[in-house]
Amino acid sequence: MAGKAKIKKSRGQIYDIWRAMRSNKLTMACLIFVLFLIFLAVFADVLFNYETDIIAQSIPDRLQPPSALHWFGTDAFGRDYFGRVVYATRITMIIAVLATLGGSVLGILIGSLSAYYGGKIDAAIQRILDVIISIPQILLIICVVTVLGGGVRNLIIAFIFSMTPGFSRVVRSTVMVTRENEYVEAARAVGASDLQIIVSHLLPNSLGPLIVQATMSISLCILSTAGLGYLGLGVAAPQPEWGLMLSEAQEYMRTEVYLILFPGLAIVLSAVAFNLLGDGLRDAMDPRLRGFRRKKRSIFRKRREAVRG
Amino acid sequence: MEHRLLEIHDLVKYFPTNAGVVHAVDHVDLAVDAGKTLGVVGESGCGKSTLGRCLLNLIRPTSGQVLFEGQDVLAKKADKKLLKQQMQIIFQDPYSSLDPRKTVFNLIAEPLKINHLCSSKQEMEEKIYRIMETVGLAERLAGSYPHELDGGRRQRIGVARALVMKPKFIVCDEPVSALDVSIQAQILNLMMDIQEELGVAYMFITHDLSVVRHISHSIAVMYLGEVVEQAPKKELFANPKHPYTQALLAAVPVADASRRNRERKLIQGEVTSPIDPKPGCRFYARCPYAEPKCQEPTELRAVGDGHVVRCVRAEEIGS
Repeated sequence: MAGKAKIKKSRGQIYDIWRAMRSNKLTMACLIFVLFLIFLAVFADVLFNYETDIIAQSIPDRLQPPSALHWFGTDAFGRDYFGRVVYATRITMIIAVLATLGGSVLGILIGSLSAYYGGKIDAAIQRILDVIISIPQILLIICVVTVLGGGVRNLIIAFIFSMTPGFSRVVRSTVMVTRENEYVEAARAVGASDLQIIVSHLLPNSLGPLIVQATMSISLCILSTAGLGYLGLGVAAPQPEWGLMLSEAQEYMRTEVYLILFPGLAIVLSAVAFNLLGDGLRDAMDPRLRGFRRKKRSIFRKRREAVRG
Repeated sequence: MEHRLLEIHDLVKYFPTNAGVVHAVDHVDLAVDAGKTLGVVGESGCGKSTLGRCLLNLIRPTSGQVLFEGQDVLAKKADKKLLKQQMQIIFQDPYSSLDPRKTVFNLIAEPLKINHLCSSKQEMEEKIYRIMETVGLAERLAGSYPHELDGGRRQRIGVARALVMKPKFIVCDEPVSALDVSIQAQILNLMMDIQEELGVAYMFITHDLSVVRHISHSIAVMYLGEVVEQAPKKELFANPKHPYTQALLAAVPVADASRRNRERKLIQGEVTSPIDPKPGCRFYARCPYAEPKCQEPTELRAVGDGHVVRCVRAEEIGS
């Protein structure tokens, strides 16, 4: 009995995914960076006092280059730039993660219902989504923000509104493909209900594209938040936000390069990290892709060994 | 008298299409005895798989009755959970019928989990390892994924999934046609051993007569949705009455060089369309013995002990 328990324990599904992920260095680097961002987002309030460190102005300290005291220097109002970049992480991450979460949950719901029941329900849902999709995403977000006003909450609503159709399309098409697999019928033959089939077969098998879509959405949210902030349509002024910081730094970019360098780097790195993490996660979660990579690597190893003689 | 486990009465499945109504299963009456195997043979598209799925209510039949131990399977108030446990299916393709994201252990555990058949984790593990042993899967494979295994092992998982709830009746929908020949024999023998041990009844759907000869007790031949002949195995192979059955048997390769030049009655032409078939014998267009009277509606009629055939000229032909 002990032996049997061991067999199962050593090959748990979560463990398999973790092991596959760990073998991919790029994914792990991205994971660490993303965890770091999340850490900053969660503890920004603890690390800095919003009133005194982030928005309090101190004109005598303005435009100081990076130093031991101010790691990223100070901006035109003498505020510590490091604190502002970190605090902006919090705002951006809240928007990106909540919006993607909301969009994906709604999208999964709508998409899987649409695909599973098909027919008239599907047609009705898809036509409504067509209308939303036909409006350019950034324009749609600007419209929603204009109607509802700026601010973090309204940005999240706008992003959810613009992302849900994309999510439900992805979910719908993959569920429609997986639904035709014989294992769905096999599950029905052993007595599984519609819900059980959706949860335990259709969704796990549609997860790959969904993860890619979700991480792409997070990146897109980060970029859009920055874009809207730059245009003055997103987060309002005293609050730190990467896009907003870029637009404020514009005047000084020829003399104080660090003012655009740090928020710019933050935007690029976080967007890239989420994208690559999504790719790695998708590969790690598919048992077939896992096997493939292992094989591929062993070929390289063989070749190396052959070269060495 | 043997115990009747499953009775099919006048089962009909029509698929409406743009071109007309496809008569996939047309007024089929069959019965399966407990612990026995009924082979259902016929060429592709004759409705044998649809028949199997109708029995389990995976496809809802147009009309008709399926009685399992006297209980109507298709009735709204039927105890569906219990019936799902008692009646199972093994699928044709072990590559697409297993969820690629689940390990062998979880695949076999699925029926148990869904039907809440185990009170504890330990009980479930014990059941799963016992059934893995029964179907000849090594314990170390419990954590493997289907794509890591060969076709034979995969189909053993399929068999284990069907068996784990201890059903009394299993529909086998061409369970070996996707496997290569050496593995076919393994799986067939496994299924026969299981029948001997556990007393399950099979409905064995196949297009391969040598397979059906190996495993069945009685055989029903289907053509375009209808049963054209049914008889105990020996009787059917020794004394086929329907021209279609004769043609099928003639097409089976024989491992005997001296009979290489035997006269073979092969049929010509394509299968008639199952869309809105004409009344009368459906084999009429291809039958070498066709006569004008064959165009009148035909009934299954008894021509011997447990031997029924749907052909007006059966006595003249079958000698």
